[in-house]
Amino acid sequence: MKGAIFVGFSAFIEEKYGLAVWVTALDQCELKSNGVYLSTEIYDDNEFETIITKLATLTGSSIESLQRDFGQYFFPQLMSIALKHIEKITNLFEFLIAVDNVIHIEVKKADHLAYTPTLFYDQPKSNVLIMRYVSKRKMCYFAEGLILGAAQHFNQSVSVSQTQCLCKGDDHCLIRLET
Amino acid sequence: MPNTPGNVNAQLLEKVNILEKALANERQAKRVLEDKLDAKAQVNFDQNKDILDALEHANDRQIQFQFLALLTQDLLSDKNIDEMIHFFVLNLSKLMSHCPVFQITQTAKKSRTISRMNLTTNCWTRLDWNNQYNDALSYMLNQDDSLWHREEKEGNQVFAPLKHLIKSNSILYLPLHISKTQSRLLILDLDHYCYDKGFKETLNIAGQQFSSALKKRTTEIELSYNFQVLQSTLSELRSTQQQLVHSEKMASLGQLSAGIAHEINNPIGFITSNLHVLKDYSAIYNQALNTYSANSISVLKEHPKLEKNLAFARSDIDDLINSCIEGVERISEIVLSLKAFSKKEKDEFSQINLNEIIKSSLKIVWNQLKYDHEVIENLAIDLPEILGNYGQLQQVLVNLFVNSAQAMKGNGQLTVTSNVVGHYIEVSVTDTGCGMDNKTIKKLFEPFYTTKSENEGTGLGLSVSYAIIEKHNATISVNSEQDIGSTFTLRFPKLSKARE
Repeated sequence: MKGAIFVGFSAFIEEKYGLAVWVTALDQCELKSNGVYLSTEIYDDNEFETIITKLATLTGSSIESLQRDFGQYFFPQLMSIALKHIEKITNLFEFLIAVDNVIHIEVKKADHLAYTPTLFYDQPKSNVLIMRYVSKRKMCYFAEGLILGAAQHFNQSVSVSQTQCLCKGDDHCLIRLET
Repeated sequence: MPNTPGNVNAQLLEKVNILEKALANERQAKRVLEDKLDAKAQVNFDQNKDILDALEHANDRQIQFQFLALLTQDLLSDKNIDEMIHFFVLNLSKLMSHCPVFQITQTAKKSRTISRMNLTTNCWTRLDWNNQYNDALSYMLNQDDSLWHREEKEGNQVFAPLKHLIKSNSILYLPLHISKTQSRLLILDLDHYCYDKGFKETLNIAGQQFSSALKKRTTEIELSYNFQVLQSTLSELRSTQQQLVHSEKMASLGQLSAGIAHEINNPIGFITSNLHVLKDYSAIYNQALNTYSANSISVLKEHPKLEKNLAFARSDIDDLINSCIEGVERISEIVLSLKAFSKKEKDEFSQINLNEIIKSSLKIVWNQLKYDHEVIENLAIDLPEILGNYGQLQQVLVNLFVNSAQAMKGNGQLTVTSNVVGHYIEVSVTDTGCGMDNKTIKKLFEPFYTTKSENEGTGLGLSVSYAIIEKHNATISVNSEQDIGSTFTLRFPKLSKARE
């Protein structure tokens, strides 16, 4: 996983729960990286899962809500990265369709062999977008948070539902968005 | 500064502030460093981007081509329309996470069937057609042909009747108008249609390729059918042409015969009459000569050679005249036959029973058959009547019986059978005679063709029979084997019920 996610996550935890919680969590997890992350590097996916599981215990929040809140928190950063690659994004669906490519570039420039999650889209109607998320990292709630953050950014109300989910044993997540 | 609690706190706060500042600086420095690294990574990435993009594009293309090649392989093989659809759907279903697939067939007569691919057995299961599907079917068939169309079932009234059939919310369908009379519709019951652009493009190409292959195959099938029809028509035409040529030949010969018969008839009349008068005169001469001889006035004795010649002439003259009369009678018979062959007589047809004609004909030729030949009559009881000319058909049968008798030198067996075969009445005449070779069979019905000696036949019997049979809308055929025998079969159309 790209270091930027770890760095962003540490900032989110520090802001919401305090630096102590983050440092405690790192102290209590045996991490190969020792909790030292550079945004530009790629780190083991398991480290994120270990940290967020520990943080769920320390904060009393669920992993899902931590992921979702972090997604919303992280959106502006992702948007700023996206704007480096895409000149003009005017609405939520445009952003979501472009984001796959943004993630792809950001990961690949750190390591061109690194694994990237895949997003596939289907837009049966102009106000409906279905996203199929395929990733071994099972970060679909983070994706949901990003979507909510994006909707807020573009000042669009959106209903988000998952008809299939990797976390529930399905082969992929199907996220249905309706504006 | 004394180490009072207040001072300690102040010192600690100052340290915390300093550490926070240091941390902020470190973070700032780290961010700067990360930005620099990121910028370098971006440069590296941009440098290799084209190659990486090309590699990725090539990988995608390879997968697309593999799929299309697989389909093409199936499409090129010699399969019928249903087999082609079966294999296309199997491949498609595999590609689309084994989703359920339905097939609807609509023919020009608006007959509609629906079936579902059973993914366990890979066979189609026929489902009951519900007229409530009609609107959805018409809607889907009216979309662009050979292209995939995507619909959501939810909130779409047209698709509401399909809710028991299609479980998912998404459907993907492909209308295929494969001929003027036949359309097919493939419907995929999909969990989702979230695929990348390349995949969707591949699917569209596959749909269009498949549609073209179906249309091509349909055209091939139609062409093949038309070819068969043409071949059959050609063969029919050839046969008709042969019949026409034959009929034409018969008609020409008929006209020729009529002309000859007319021309010969008059001289034959006076020759016959004169010969009979001549015979009478000869009798008178003979009587006179006998009287001379009786009165012993024989001047001729002085001329022995003359007397000898006269005696010979007297003994021969009657034979000669009789022979001439016989010859002329024979000529008359030929002329009569020629007339019968060519005569445009009124077709006085009536309802007749073929069994009766067979029996009366056998009576006529009984004299020729009774000594050496066994006659077997296999006549059907209650044989339906036909429409025909009694006398003409009797002529045909007599001719066949006489031919059979002449073909059976010594002993033989003549079998006459009448029977109902489908819409026809068949009469067959079988003999155990010498049979015929193929050359003879080919010329059998031609006028003047005969295998008999000059005195025995004119070669007109069977050609006349042929003409008579044709007039009766009947057919005559022959089956013959040398040294085994011959069978002539006459086939008459049954009287229609309306006429009965």
